[in-house]
Amino acid sequence: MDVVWMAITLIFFGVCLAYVGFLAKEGKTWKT
Amino acid sequence: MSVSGWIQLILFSIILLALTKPMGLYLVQVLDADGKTWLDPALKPVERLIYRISGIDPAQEQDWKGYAVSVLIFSLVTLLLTYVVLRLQYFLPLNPQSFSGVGKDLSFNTAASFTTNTNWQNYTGESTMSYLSQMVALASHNFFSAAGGIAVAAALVRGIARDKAATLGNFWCDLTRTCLYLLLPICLVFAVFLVSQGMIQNFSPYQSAKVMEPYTTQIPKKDASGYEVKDAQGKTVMEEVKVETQTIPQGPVASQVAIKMLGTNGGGFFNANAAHPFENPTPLSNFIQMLSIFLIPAGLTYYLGRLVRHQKHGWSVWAAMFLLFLIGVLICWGAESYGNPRLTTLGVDQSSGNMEGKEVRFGIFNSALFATVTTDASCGAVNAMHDSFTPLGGLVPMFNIHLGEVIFGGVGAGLFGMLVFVVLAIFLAGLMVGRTPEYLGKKIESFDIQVAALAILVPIVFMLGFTALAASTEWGVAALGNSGPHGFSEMLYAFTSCFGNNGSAFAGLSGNTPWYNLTLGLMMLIGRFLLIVPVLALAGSLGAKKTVPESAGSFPVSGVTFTLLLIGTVLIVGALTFFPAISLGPIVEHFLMMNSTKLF
Repeated sequence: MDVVWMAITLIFFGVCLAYVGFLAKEGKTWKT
Repeated sequence: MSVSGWIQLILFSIILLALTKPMGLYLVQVLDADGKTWLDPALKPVERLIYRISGIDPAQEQDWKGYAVSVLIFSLVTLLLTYVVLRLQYFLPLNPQSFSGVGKDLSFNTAASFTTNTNWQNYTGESTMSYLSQMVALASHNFFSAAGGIAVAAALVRGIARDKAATLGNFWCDLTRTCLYLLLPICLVFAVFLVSQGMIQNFSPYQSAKVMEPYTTQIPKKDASGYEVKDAQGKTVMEEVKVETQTIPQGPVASQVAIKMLGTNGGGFFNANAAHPFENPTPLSNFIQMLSIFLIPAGLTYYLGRLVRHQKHGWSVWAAMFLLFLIGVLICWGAESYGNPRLTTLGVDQSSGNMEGKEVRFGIFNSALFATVTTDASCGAVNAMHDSFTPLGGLVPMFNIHLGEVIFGGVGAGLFGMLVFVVLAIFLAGLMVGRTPEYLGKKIESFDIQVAALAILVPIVFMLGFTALAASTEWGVAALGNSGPHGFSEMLYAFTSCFGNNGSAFAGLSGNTPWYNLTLGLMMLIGRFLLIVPVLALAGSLGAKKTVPESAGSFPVSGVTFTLLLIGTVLIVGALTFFPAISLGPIVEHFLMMNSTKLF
């Protein structure tokens, strides 16, 4: 079941990377 | 409140003030890829070698997105490596006690804890971790996570200081230089000093000694996986043991304690942390350890002033932090000196204050000062048990973390947290006088406020939400060591501490359960990375703006008015957000202590 804990970690960091993308998009929206 | 306490407090403040500028000037050089330090002859070749091996071009700067992705990828990889080392420690060298591999959920919690600079410990170091795990998996993170925090703070300061810039620096370069030129050299000297005070540094197997007076005691019964066994009512099953020998743990303690304090990590080599005589042998080691927690965060305020070419601004941020620190330490010291009147009625002498849970060598003042410093910063090391503080005394460390640990704060994290509050304070001031808010010539616009609000509010939602979840579930309540408001405080403190990447605990909570390991582990990751991402977005946004010259209408970011506005903003946001929760915990417990016979 080590895979489960590693998967939780990967999912969390995936969410963080998506958050970067979201804020980058938001930044462009508000600049224009 | 003793005279010796006042003298120590004044001495502590003066030395901190005196060290701020030299540390700040050194940071200016370290955090500049082309900076010059007196260690260059020895370390420059090492730095170049690291770049060559890892393919880093220090001259190639990153925009905020590249910087953030680098932080995340580095953290992910090191977290997974830590997880693997902890799981496999039985098969790895430097394990003279033959400790088995750490459990899955505990490995996740511990890896998340050290990756995020939290060092929350749901384990007992001396009976769980091999020397290799302590050094490779844990102490290395103490360097990396501290350097990562400093790098993010430097990126934000560069964003504020630069004019129409697309980049914020190079994360890999900042990380390398911070470890090489700042943390490693200071820790080397610091560790030697700690050894001179009596701290141990060896790889010897644990020693065993016969106790003078054998005794019988009850301890929680554990199953094969190391979890406490519960009965049908959810209470811990106890078993009786006769104690005839005492194990005296050994290990490479000094090297770990040096970075644990300097990097505001806080994870103890021993379970008793800085209350253990091997981990804090003398009053001098105690004093220097406290100072070392604030050393880099204080220096970073000077670094801020130097980079934005407005040194008074840096000093004003320092002053705001120092005043908040002073308020905290005086309240905590006063509450602990007053003692617990309920214990007085039971015949316990409280004339020297509330000594329950305190190391006699350090006494009331040094326990209160340590507790305040360690929670102003995101250190989390303790030399007294916060769970045994009076309700108001325990409220201070908890509320310090609620404020975002911006009172000097964690290395780097304290400064970037405080700068988010600076942006918010300037925005509020702009609203009050009806002018476009402007920070050091940069107009504060809607996106900046959005990300500042996200940095402050989103993690808080998770923190209070997880506390509420634990308070309303069986697994959450079963882990409590106390009932009533104190039990709630234990739970709130745990999620507060993990969210704030502090790591100290109201130790009555038995956190080593699968659910707590999961939720507290997630809390630490959320508290670190869901804050860093918007902070770097803010840095990128500010860096891209054109700097306009200050005019008569610009809001001054130095002086008494600014300092008080900043303090007010920090306190109001913290109080409005957390007052309902702390009312249910330490505040109601205080009134029950004063006006009833009930003890929790």
